[in-house]
Amino acid sequence: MLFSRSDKILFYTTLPLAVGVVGLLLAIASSLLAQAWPSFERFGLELLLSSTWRPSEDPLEELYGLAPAIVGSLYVALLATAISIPLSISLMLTVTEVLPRGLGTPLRYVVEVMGGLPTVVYGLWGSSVLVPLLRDNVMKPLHEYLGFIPLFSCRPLTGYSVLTASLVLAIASTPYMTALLIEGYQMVPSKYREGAYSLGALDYEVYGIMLGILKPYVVAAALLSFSRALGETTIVALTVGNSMKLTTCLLDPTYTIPSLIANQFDSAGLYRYALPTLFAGALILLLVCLATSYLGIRMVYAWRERVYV
Amino acid sequence: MYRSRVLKNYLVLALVTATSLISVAPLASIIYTALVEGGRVLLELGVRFLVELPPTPLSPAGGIAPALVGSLVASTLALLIAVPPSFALAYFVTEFPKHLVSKVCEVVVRSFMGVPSIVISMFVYYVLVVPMGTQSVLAGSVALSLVALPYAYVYFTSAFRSIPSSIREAAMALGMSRLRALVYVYVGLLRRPLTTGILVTYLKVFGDTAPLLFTMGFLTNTIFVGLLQPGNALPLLIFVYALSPYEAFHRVAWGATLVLLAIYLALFTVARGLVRGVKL
Repeated sequence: MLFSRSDKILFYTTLPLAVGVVGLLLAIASSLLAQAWPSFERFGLELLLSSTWRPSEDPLEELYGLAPAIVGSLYVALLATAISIPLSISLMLTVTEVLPRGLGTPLRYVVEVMGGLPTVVYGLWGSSVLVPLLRDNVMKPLHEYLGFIPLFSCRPLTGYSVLTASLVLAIASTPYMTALLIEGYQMVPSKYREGAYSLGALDYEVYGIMLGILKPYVVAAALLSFSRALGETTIVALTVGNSMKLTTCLLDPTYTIPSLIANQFDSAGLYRYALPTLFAGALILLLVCLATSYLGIRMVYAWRERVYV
Repeated sequence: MYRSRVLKNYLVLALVTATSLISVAPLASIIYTALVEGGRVLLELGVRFLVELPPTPLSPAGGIAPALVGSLVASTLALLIAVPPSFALAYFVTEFPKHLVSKVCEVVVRSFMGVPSIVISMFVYYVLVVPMGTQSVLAGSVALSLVALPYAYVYFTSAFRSIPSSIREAAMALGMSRLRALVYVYVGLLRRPLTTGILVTYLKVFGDTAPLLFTMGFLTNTIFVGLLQPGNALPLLIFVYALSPYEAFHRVAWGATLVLLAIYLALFTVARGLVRGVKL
């Protein structure tokens, strides 16, 4: 497959780059592992199960657990993805089908602008606009009238909470998911759509059929979006409240792994096992994110091959 | 029967449209708040906001000069680091698609997008900041370039894949080597998508906070002290000031947000003008 000498030169000069990228990913994982090792060795399973954060001058007194951050991460990312699925599907349909071209294109532009907006802008907006708004208009009434449901049983004090963080995160990840869905929607051969219309189906019935074909792709897009939400730092750190508390209540503040790292990294250097624990959290995060995004990409490829036939 | 279907149809259409409008409404609120809160600061200080040092917690006002300069320097440097290898890599993968190395490379670079940027920040902290003894603009740029690499790569590969096979075959039939074909045919043909790819990568890097958290430092007492010394960046400044309890800092954060938004929207419009359908 290599034809001329010049092609060979091209091949062999870029080969180190290709190998280098693979090496880089391995280097990231292995350096995290090297840094995290003391913590794994010292705390073992306690690291995943405990919810104490006890820094101390005396290394024997130190005890750290990542349980609240792990639970918080999953909780916030799952909730955010769950909220953004219906939003993205609606947006996708509106842009591609419902609106006429003259209105669909501007809306698509808006979605793209939102998709690229720096996350810190969402974070700042969430913490200074959405937090007070949600606290007074949503969280307090929820607690007052539905407080008997465990999800709303905790008293909302500041407005920084799982609910707020998930909501802002959902708003920020909806454009990303929408872009993925639009891409997938346009890959579905138009014969299905045309066939359905020619049989007399109305718009909503056609959408139903198209979404049925798109279903595996929606799952893949949700997985990719979930993976992104898990690793998101800025938005969550500004809205989740940053409190070391293992909670399932929606109105409580908590930590996620990235927000824990962002908050504790500077002071962690003072203690012997704090920094390794944060690196352990980063390693866990990296593995989960890589696994979910790899799975998502695989599913997209598999679906694409099936639909093209 | 038919009538109820038609009714249901309208209902679904209205619901879908309304949900979409609700999900883009936050953008309006974000821009409005930035204009009101940030506009107040900018009107008060004018150009001084862009050229002055940030305030101390109790001083009445201050600017964002170190962050603005740091952002421009670090993102440009990150782009310079990330674009050449990702360009070469993208060409390699599209030209030798069946080779095992290409296949592995494709999967690895795409999964690179899944690496959380805070993890990249910790990695660069460990391999650059610790040995160098200080956080620096260089370390920040390297962290940003690791974030930029897969983005630029994805853009470049999709650009190269869009070359019509007739043109590719014509170039080959003239006896061009792949390198010559790239220089004389493809780059000219693809100038718009390639430029958009670079611009979009720059935008991504310019607005990213997490890679800079442990690498960039937080310079506030002078504007710029060199690549090997700590610096500051707009998103980083906004993030740190938003977390702080001081009112003066919040005002500066909103002013900085307005500046960031203006830069972002301007560059985005240019990128979007070159090629339809920009995805970040």
